[in-house]
Amino acid sequence: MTENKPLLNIRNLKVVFPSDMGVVRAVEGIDLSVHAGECAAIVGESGCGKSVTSMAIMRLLNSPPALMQADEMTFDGHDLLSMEENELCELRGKDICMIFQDALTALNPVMTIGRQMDEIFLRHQKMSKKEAKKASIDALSLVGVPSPERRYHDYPHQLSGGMRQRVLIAMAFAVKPKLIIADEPTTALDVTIQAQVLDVLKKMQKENGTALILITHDLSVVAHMADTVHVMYSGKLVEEAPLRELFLTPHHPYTQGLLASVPKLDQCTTRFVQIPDQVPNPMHKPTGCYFHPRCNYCTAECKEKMPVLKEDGENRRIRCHHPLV
Amino acid sequence: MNKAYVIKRILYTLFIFLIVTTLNFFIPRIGVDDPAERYYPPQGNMSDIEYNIIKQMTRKQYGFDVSTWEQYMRYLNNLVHGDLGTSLQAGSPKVVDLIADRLPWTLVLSVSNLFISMLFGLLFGTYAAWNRGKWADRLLMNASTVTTALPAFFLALLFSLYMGFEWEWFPAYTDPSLVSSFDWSMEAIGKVAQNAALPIIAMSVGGIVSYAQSTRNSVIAVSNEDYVVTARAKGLSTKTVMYKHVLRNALLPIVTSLGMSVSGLIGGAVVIEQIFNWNGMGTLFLTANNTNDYPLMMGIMLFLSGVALLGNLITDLCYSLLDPRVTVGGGRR
Repeated sequence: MTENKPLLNIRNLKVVFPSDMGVVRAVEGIDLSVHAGECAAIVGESGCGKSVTSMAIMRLLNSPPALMQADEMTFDGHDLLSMEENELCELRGKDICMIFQDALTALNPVMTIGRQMDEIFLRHQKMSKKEAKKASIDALSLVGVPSPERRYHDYPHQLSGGMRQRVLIAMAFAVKPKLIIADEPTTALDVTIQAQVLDVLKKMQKENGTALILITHDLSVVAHMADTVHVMYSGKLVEEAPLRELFLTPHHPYTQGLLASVPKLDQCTTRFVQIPDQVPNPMHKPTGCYFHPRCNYCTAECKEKMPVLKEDGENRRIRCHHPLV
Repeated sequence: MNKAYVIKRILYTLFIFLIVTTLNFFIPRIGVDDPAERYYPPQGNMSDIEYNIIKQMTRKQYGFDVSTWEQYMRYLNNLVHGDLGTSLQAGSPKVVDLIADRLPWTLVLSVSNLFISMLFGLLFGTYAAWNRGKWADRLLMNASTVTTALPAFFLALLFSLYMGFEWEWFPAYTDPSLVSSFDWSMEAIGKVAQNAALPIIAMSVGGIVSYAQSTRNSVIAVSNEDYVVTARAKGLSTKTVMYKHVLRNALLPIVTSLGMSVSGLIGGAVVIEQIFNWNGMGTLFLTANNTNDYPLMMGIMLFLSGVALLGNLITDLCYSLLDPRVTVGGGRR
């Protein structure tokens, strides 16, 4: 592991969607570095810009409508911003892969999963069809799909949700990429299957030394997988810290709220703790700190001035005028 | 393809056809005391006795002298043997023979129309979807507004007027000797093509636009599916993604509309045939209608229903070839 040179380095990434009704500023200046073998979690509520960030890293956002901009976006020595579409195609699926949330819609319904897996090997490893089939079956058995030779010929709808997600994981790890972006990989699954799929994901990540960007709103998934956590709110990073520090001592009121809203088994409560109100409408964001209308510690300063993301002890950064200590 | 599924679809189609034959048999008999009266309405100068004799003869000739149930059985029996009855036209020709005479001429128009509409519709629709918002797409949008608003017969009249009479590109009016003089020589085939040109153009303008429109919408809808993003995330080139992942899925709804058009192949050209004096099924049906030729009308109706059912059956079977979810159902878990 090269500690000082990150695999993925993003500085000041912005994504906007202009529309007739106004400009949606989905991502407003995100900094993110991920080192080889590291698992970085991006956490936040729905609509905070997590998924858009991941699509932007893959350069998969359709433009129009999306417009993206960044001061720097490098991956393993490549400048993702200046790459042509054909160079990006070389990179996608080989060095950077993606695991999507809903495995049913993420797989082509009229193609067998085998053929969909073969495509990766045929594309990136110049294998013959026969070799690709063998490689696909091997990849399926690695993620714990039972009787992979038979499953190879199945269509997506013939597999259970957990199996489909395993197929997506197998596809992502197929050619041993350096970075995998998993966008809510377990949200569509029930809890027991979730745990199995996460275990597979973690095992594959550790064995291959792959860097993982885990996008989720599920803090239990984060606790299970992540090394560092980046908390996003309404298009901006509000806090980032190593996993333990963040969970034990959240410094941002939003992070604290997120952690407090996780139901605890050992406490008898009649109501779930929640952060009041909703994520701001991306077209009409509040003045000052975006979180101030929902914050218990809000002051006059918070209503007027957006705080900057500043260093907060070792390996931590926070965007708050009044961090909780 | 799943054998059980095919057999099920065929049996289902046969069952529907049986219902259709039943309706086809009974509906003309609803509210009519004596079908003979409908076949031969009383003439002014006829005495009651004379008319009664005529009715008796008609009943016997057309088989109304037995019970309805027996008539129905006889009707079904005739159907099985390919007999749709006898027309009231002079010379009492068989309905089947009349249909068989006209069918090829209608098929010349409708099959060419379907082929042209499909081919150009698919090409143009796909092109418009891939170049969304550019000139081809905008042209298609505007064209669809125009062709939806203008009925095919109006376009046919315009074409007939300008391309036919004004500029004399093609015959505006089908040569009446076309059918009788046809002898499979190159010359005769060329003449048919020349005469068919205008009706085919008039029919296919709307078809091309509507196929193009639904292809375009379908391709755009599928392009936004998650699995297309997956395919792109695999590093496949835009072209590969389009051909292997988008088009196949986008064509599914088009296959449905193709099956629907099969049913319109025969009955769809009634008005156009009239405008260009084309001697096909449409003209035959109109004649039957105008002369109260009930056996002929019933025969044509039944034939049209049969073709429509066949079209639906073909669609179902094609669909199951293209979309694995149709036959395999829930599948094993």
